Order: sequence, then structure tokens, then C-alpha cells
Amino acid sequence: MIDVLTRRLEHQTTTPELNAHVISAFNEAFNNIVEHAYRGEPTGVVAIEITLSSTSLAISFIDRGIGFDVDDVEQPDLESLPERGLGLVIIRSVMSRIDYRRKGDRNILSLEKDFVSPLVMGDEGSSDRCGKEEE
Amino acid sequence: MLSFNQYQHNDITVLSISGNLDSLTVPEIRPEIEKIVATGVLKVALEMSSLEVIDSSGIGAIVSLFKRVRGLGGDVKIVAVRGQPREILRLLGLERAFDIVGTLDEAAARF
Repeated sequence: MIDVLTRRLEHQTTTPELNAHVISAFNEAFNNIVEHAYRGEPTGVVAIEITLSSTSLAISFIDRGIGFDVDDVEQPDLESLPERGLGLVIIRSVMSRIDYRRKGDRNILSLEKDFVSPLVMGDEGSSDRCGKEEE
Repeated sequence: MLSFNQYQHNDITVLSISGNLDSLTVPEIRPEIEKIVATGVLKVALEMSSLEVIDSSGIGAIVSLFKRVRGLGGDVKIVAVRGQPREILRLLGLERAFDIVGTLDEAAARF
């Protein structure tokens, strides 16, 4: 799915900095689900929906693992050079909005990035959705 | 995918890292980091010109090496980092903690 995201961004007029931000947030969010929501599980399903417009990018991660409310996680003190807990710091620093909801047995983590300058779109916008069995 | 190799540049121990340093690949490089720390070398350079992507796990491994070498009285220089890894270092405020230089010769001059 990260390849789909990368290809989508490559088709638009984006900046290397924007690509770095989006790819970093995607990786950290996905890793959090694997490491926390599905901790100890050999497999688990993550559905990912990506919606790209000229002014913003929205990525939703939906899983059925253990709940993980990002608002409950304390920010580490960066001055002390922590070795863990940096994933959410990265997500928070590069995305415009983060929202977590528990709906039934599903966790829904939504990340949104507003673009400083509107993208020149190759088409009128796009949406991709997939489910991934993570091992 | 991650690849790395260790070599000497004069009296500096260089760990050159290529590819992706993330939660999947960090376990591959941990033993190399342990080896460097165990030898007690005081001048370490991480050469990152071919490092494409780093995540929080990769940053954690680098911070661990940095703190332990510093704890021995040495230092770790970051050499030729660019692109996404450079941006992550900036976002986490690590550009202030790490000495980031363009070449190994620059690193040698700053130990």
C-alpha cells in the first residue's frame, strides 16, 4: 500500500519534503498497529483508505486489534534523547490532524495533511482502498 | 531492505548504512552496534548517503549508539544524511544533538 501512496504522490506535483512527511507518517501509523494493536498475533488485517485531493491527503487505518488511543500517549521529552515513543511524535509533527475512534471492535485511525500550496492534480482526485494481511 | 558495512577511515570507525532502517531491519543492525560499543572505540561515523528511509525504530537505534559512545567519552558523527532521514532528524530536533557533516574528512576534523 505504501507503493500505491508513493505512486499517487509521484503523479502529482509534490515536494520531496511533503513526500517525506507523508511516507513517514504512514510507516509509523502502520508500525504502531502491527506492534501494539496486533501485539503477539501472527497475522492481522489492516484496511487502509487513501483520499488525495489538490488541497489535502487523508489516510485511514482500520484494524480489529487492541485499542490504541493516540491521545492517551504522553509526548516524550525530546531533550532527553529518548530511544522509544518517537513514532507518534513524528506523526504529530508532520500531519495536520490525527483522529482515533473505537467503533465496535474496530480501531479507526485517521490522519490528514493539508497542503500549503494546492497540488497540480493529474486527475480530479483519487481514492484507494485495500486490506492487508500483516504477518 | 537494509545493507551496512563497517570499515576504518584513519582512526574513525565508520558504519555505512544503505536502504531502509526501520522496525523490520533494525534487528539486523543491532549486533553491529553492540560490536562497535563493545570495542570501546571513541570516534564513530555513521555514513548515510545511501540511506533512503528511516523510521522511529531506526532513530532509536542511532540514538542508542550515540548515547553509549558518548557515555564512554567518545562521539558519533552523522555523515552525508539526506532526503527523508535528514527531514526526520530535523523534525525530532536531533540536528541540534548530533554533529551532522558532509564528508568523512569533515567528520575527522571535528572529533
